[in-house]
Amino acid sequence: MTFQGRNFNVIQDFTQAELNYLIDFAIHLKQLKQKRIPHHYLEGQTIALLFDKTSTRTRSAFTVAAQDLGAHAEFMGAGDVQFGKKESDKDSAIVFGSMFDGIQLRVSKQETVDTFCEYAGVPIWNGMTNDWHPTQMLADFMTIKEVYGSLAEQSLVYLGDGRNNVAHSLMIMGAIMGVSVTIASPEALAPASEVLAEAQVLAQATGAKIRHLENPLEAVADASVLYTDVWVSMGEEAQFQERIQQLMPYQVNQELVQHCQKPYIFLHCLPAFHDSSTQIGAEIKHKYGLEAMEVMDDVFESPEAYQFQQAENRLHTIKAVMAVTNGNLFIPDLA
Amino acid sequence: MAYINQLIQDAQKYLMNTYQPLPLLPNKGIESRLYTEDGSVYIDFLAGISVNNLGYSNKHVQKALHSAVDHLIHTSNYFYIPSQVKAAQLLVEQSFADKVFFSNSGAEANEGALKIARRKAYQQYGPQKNEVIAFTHAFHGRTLATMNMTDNASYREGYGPHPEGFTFVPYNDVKAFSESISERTAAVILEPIQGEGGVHVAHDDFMVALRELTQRFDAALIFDEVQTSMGRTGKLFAYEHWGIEPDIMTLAKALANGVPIGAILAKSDYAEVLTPGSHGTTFGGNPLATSAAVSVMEVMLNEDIPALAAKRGDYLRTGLQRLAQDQPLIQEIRGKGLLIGVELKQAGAAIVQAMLERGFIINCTQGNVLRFLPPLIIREAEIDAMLAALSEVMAKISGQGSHTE
Repeated sequence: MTFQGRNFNVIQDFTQAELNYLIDFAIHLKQLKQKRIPHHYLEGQTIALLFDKTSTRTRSAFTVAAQDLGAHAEFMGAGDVQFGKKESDKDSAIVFGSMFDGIQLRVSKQETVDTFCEYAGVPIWNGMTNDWHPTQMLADFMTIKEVYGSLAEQSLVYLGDGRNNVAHSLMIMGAIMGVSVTIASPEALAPASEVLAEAQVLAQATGAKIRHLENPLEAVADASVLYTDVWVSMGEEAQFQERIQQLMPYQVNQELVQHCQKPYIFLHCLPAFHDSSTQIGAEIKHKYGLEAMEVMDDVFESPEAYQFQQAENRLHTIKAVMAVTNGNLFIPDLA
Repeated sequence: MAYINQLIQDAQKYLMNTYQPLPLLPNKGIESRLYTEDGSVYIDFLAGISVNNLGYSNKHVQKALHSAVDHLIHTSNYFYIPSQVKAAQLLVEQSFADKVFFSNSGAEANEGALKIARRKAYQQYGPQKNEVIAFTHAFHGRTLATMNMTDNASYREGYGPHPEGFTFVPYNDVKAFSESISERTAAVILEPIQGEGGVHVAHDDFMVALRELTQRFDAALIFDEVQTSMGRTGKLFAYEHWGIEPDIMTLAKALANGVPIGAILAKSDYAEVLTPGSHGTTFGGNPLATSAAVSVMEVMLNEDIPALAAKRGDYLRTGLQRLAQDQPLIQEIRGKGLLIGVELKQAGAAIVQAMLERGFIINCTQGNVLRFLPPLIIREAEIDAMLAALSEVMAKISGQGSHTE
């Protein structure tokens, strides 16, 4: 299994064995961290963290992961990097690649990451684009594996906007890992048919069932993982009212989870509008009379909720990705 | 669905009936995936019959083509064409050859290669040195001359009289070959790995004998690398596996990743027999095709696509070998890189059909050899998915077989 020098761009670039390795390695790194055992695989390296929009978990995870691995992380935001405005992505990639040992990008356009992968000459880590969210997938599936001990036989149901990067990534990841994924959303917010079709083809290797359902109650019936995400993605804030109307039936609340016929866990990639304690949450309450949006407190604060473990796992999984692609580790073939 | 039904009817009405297309209508391709108008996706292990080696929608090739379209699609060979010169330079630098002639297709390139070989033999030894040796299971094209080097009698039936001087010798049979070649032989043509003929790989001793005997009798050794080339076998050109250089090599298919093109590459003593007016083509080497060819070569070299093909080929072959361990349908696995044949103990058409229903385009040649020719950028996860489907399909089919016995 060769990871050294590879990019971590989209999930499809990796096999089930490789993704399992990354998850297991992340679990190992988590234990090292808890026992305070040093793991400076990237000693002396400097990595770039390039963002064209704000980020809490991804930035924190990459920064701390770099620190734990003995590398220095340099953050650059939208004001520091051109992202095609004054300098082409290709030129930026060549320049950054000539100075840094690895580059994380969290940018709107997937093409920007693709271009960096092509020209930077150092490992590129896709921290999220409008199309894909691959590092989130590792953290999500690591969490499922930690809770259940195995990914086999798991069935994940995502409720909400099925067109977004998380929903799409979940379908592909599930297909490769053998975890059935149901996207529950109204038809207007159904996943892209191309991604659904691609996931269904890839799922033949594993027997996972990948499907889209409109009925949320039917969707959650045999779920072992309930997953939701913000209803209004970054940049779509003007569409709050329409989205609330469309997605209210998909809210994860006590009424919905009562339709789960077996034990489940709840996941959320955060931030979550689960109460009115945030500024936007308060505005929503004032404007629409809603206490919460995609998830109610009664689920978010329940013993079934693992979103904070999931958030912490961003660190360990991202560290695993950085270490294997840039740390010259010995990784035996596990075929 | 109504649209495709209408299209099928119109095709039957207006097109000559030479192919029997599948009732699918692909309208978009990305990397190894083909999307049809009804939203289905297929992982393509046929890649336009070994044409789309860089996958669908390769950005470099698209960019080169856009630029050519914007500037000049065609002039003619009455003018200098920079991309034609550049493509030739890249091919010469990467191969044994000294000169290149661009044509429109593989068959046209093979015809041209024969013309060169016969003209050289004629000029040096006279008209009696004109014979051409080809091999069993060979496929070199369907034009009036090349079909005489294509070992399928049905392809020739009813098209006579045929040009004279063509002989077939068993592939990989050193003795038969040594008994067939003579002072009258002008050319020996073979595919280093036969594609259409069932993915047979030339044996090392056979290759050595070919080179020695063609040199002794001063006959042109022509490698038809139309299907094996542009990285598919794990090397840019398949002949590199044997360390033996031909005198002439023909290319097409993947050379421009989908834009029709062919090429004859030759050492200078062969290339020099062509002089102004002695051979030609209207479209061959035009700006559109050669711009694409240049971009393909750049990607091949910059991204070391042949090495990727070798790696992904090993991955696919290992998976197929694992499948063969408990799958009695499989007789033999052959090939190099991502040109792989799986010979079955029975006909393969039902497997091809069942795989198509599961979203995988594979191909069967010679009736019982499954042929895998995916884009060289195929992902390992896609290979895993295909292997899983193939395993199920074969289990089902071999299970059915045992019931009927």
